[in-house]
Amino acid sequence: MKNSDANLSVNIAGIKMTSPVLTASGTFGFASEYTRVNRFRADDIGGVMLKGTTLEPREGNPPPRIAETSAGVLNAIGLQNPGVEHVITEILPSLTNFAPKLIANVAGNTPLEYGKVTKRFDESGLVHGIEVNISCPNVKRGGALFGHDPVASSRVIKAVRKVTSLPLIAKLSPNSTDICSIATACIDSGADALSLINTLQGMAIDSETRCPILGNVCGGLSGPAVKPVALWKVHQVYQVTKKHRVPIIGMGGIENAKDAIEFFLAGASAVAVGSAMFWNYRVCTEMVAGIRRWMSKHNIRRVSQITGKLKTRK
Amino acid sequence: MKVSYTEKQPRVHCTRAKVVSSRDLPDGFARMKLIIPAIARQAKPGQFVSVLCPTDDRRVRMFNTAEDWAAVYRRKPARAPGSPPLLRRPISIHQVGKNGTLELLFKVIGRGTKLLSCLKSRDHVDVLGPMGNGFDLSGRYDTAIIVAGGAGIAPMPYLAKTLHKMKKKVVIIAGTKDVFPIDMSLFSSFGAELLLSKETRHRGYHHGLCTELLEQYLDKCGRRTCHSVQAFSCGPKAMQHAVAKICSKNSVPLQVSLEQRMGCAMGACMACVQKVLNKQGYSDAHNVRVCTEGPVFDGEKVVWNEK
Repeated sequence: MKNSDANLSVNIAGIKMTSPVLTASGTFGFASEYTRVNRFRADDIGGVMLKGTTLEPREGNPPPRIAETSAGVLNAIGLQNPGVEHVITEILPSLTNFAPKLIANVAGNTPLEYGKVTKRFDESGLVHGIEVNISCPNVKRGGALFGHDPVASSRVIKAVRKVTSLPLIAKLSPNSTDICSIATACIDSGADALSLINTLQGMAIDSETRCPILGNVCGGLSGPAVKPVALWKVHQVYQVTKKHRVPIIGMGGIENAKDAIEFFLAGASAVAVGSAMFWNYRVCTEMVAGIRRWMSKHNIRRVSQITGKLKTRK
Repeated sequence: MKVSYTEKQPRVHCTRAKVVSSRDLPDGFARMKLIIPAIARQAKPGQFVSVLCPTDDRRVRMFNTAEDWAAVYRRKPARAPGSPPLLRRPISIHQVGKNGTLELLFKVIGRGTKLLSCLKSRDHVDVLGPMGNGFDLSGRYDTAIIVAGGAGIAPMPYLAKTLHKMKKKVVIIAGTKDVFPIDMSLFSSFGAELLLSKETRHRGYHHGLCTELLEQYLDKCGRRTCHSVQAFSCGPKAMQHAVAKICSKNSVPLQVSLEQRMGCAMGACMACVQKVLNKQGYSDAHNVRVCTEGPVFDGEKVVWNEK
């Protein structure tokens, strides 16, 4: 089998993408930033999950907002964004001839706010799907407060489901005690797909100044360090979603094609690249080529054929 | 919040650059000369590049032998603690030479910069740039005052050279704790007047802070000449705050170059923000990205004591 015979297209809850590699929310801005880089290829990205957007503009947390830890990146941005109106009227219309599908990431303080933001995105007709952020660990209200409780999660998903017919993706937190119950609650309330994981809570301390490095004290850990956690969560949640035939977008520390294949085997139908974008802007292009090579080597025609095909140890 | 995310920005290049030379300098600084014609051609004073730290095993082993870790662990550790750094390091453009060379000057403060300082000539390093807005050199001024403190000296030679080419009178006011990382006579070759200070007592240097020198200089100038002056500054935040106060008192326009911990350096991650004022004043202060809207800001607009 030739590399070019590998079919990488995936259909995530009705969003048809030419590549199973997406960019995770918050690491790719509002999709236009990286296009400034010479020889950047957006065609290899299946979809872009936009930066978390709220109803009103938000200022976010005080700096410093990012710190590097062993094999990981700790961040506490706090959902700084210019508000849904600005995104719809100023940013997204200027993205012409942009191949990847756009998925809005919606956040808010109350279920009602989530609904309002979603409605604006839905009416604009500029996005192909909605990712509901019920897992941001860096805000005082909303975010993870919903995502750690099945009842609250379900309230948010229901509020969003009511106002849109677009594919709905619930983004789950790895910090909750029982991720499977949250996943079930989201699916029962109308989520068409799940994306996991968001960042793990953590902190960094400067031993010289004896101060926390981040302005927010606590932040969310991402990067290669969290990959084993992410794989395990995807594997766990897949046991729940396979009954409902709900696809999973796996993310957390993905850096190369090998990582992506591992996520597919654990149960993901598509993967998203997050922090790796910061140090390698060609990561998606490299991953797509790598996935093709792996598929041709293992004689697999469609990437969807390997989702959840984890072998059990004899 | 009025931040234009989609404004047309110039192209950014990401290339593997060859190291021509690399040197350790006094006070824990390092200087690296690279060949990157694409970036060198475009670079403006005050812009920076985002450099990927070398991560291969050879470098990590080299790092093991560095004295700073030996001092911490009393003996060589079996392997470097932690894993190789991930994020790119933002480093300002020190000088742009002929034949597409670019010089970077940086202070070694942690693992990433240590690894970068270990690079030898003919090694390769991945560089993204030029990033940021750079200093705005337009305007009707005939004297440019450059205030630099500590590592803030890094972007100044290129700025002074460019201003000199524009036939402006250049005054360098620079301060350091003990030693300057570079030979300050470099600035004299750009026809600059040098006013230097050190916090320890040294012959030929002002004993104290460079902000005191700035105050003296502006007092000497008097009100009338202050009109045709433009100030540029880079350095520690406390020093820049003091510079901003002095300049505002003497009504000298000031541009400050700020630093912040960065994630992507592309304006996507919103990590490196600085609070700045809008026209309406404090009620309308908002966070903007240092990597894209900065690193150079109007000194009057920066909110210095941010809580």
